[in-house]
Amino acid sequence: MFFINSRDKTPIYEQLCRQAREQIALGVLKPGEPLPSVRSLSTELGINPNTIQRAYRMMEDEGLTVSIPGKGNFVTEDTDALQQDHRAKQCETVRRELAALKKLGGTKSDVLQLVDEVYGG
Amino acid sequence: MIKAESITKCFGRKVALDRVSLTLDDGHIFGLVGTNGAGKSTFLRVLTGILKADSGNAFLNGQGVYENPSAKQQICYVSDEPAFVTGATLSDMDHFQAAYYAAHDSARLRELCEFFSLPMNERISSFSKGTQKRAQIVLALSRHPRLLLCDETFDGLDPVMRESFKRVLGEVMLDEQMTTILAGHSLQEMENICDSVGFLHEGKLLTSGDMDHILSRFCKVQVVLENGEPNALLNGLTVISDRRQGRLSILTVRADEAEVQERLKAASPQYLEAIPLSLEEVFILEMEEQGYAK
Repeated sequence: MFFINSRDKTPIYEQLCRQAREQIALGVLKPGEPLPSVRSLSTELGINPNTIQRAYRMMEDEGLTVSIPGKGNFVTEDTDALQQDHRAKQCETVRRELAALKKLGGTKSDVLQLVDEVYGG
Repeated sequence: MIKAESITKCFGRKVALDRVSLTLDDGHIFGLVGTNGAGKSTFLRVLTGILKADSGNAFLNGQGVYENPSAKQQICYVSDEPAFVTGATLSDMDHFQAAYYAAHDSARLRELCEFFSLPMNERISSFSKGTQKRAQIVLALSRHPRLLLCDETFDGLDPVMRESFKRVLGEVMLDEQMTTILAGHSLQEMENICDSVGFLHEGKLLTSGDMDHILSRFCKVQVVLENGEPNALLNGLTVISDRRQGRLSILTVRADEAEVQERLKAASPQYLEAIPLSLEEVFILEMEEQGYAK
C-alpha cells in the first residue's frame, strides 16, 4: 500500500502522506479501512518508526485518517470531501499546465483535441 | 535520555573534542557526521564511559557514565574495529556476555543470529570483515542496551544487511525505546533513517538538530528574471554561490527555502525552481564554509 522512492528527495513522511491522499481520492483506500500498524510498516519498509508516526500524525491533521488509541489508524469515513478536494487540486494542475501550453504556442483547438481524446468526442 | 555537557578531551596538545554538548531523547536515532579525524570515535568512547573527558560530563538518564558499571550495563558500543575474545565463536561470546551483562538474552541472540544468517559455532575470526560487523550488531542487541553507539557500522554492511539492520533497529526502538547514535559517512542512509543529526568538525559540534531543520539550513534555486539581478533581491541573506548558465542563475543561499522563494517571486520571475538539497550536499556546503578542502 505504501512504498518509499529513494530517488525522491521529498521527506519520507511526506511521501507516505501523499500516497495516502492519492489512494483515498482514487478509492484504493476505502473509508474506515485500517492502515498498517507502525510496527509492520517500519519493519516492512526498513524505516524509522518515528518517521511513520509522524506521517500518520500528518495524515490525521489533514483529515485523511482518524487515530483510535489502542486500535490504530483508519481512513476517514468522510472521503467525499477529500475526493472533491483532490479533484479541485487536479483541476488547478491542469489549468497551470494549460497556461504553460498556451505560452508555448498551443492553440485552443490543440487543447480541445486532447479533451476529445480523453473524454471521447 | 542521553546528555553530554560541554565535553572537552585532549590528547597531548591535540584538542579532540572541544566543549561538545548534546541532548537526546529516548527512542531516537541520531546521526553523527564528521570529517576524518573530527573526533567522532572519541565522542562515542566518552559516551560509552570508557574514556574520561578532561572536562564536562556524559549522562545516561541522569547517571554519570564514566567508570559507572550500572550505566555501562545499558550502553553498547559497536566499534569501528571489531574486537572479540581470541578464537571465540558466537556461542562462546554468548556465555561471555551472560557473565558480564545482567540483561543479556541468549534466546534473543540465537534469534538474531538466525535473522542475520550467522553461524554460532564457527570462530568469529574466520568471518569476513562485514560478517564480523554483523556479529557485533547481534551481540550488541542481545544485551538489550538503552543506548547503542555505532561507529561506521553501516559503512561496512552490504545493502541487504543494511536493510535487515534497519528493520531490527525499528523494532527495538518500538519495543524498548532504545536510543541509537550512528556515526559514519553513509549520509544518504542517515538522511533516511535518522531523526536528528549533528556535524562534527575539528572537535566542535558545529550544528545539530532535527533532520528537517538541518536540511533547511541552505537552499538552492534556479531562476530566470525578466530584468534585474536575483542577487539584489536576496539582500541581507548569505549567497554562497551564484552561477550563471546563459540567462539562468543557480543560487545557493544560506536561508530557508520559503524565504528565498518569496523574495524572488516578488520580481515575477519567468522561471523559478527550488532544488532540494541532500544531507550530503548540506554537509559539504557547511564544511566549505568552515574552509575545509574545497
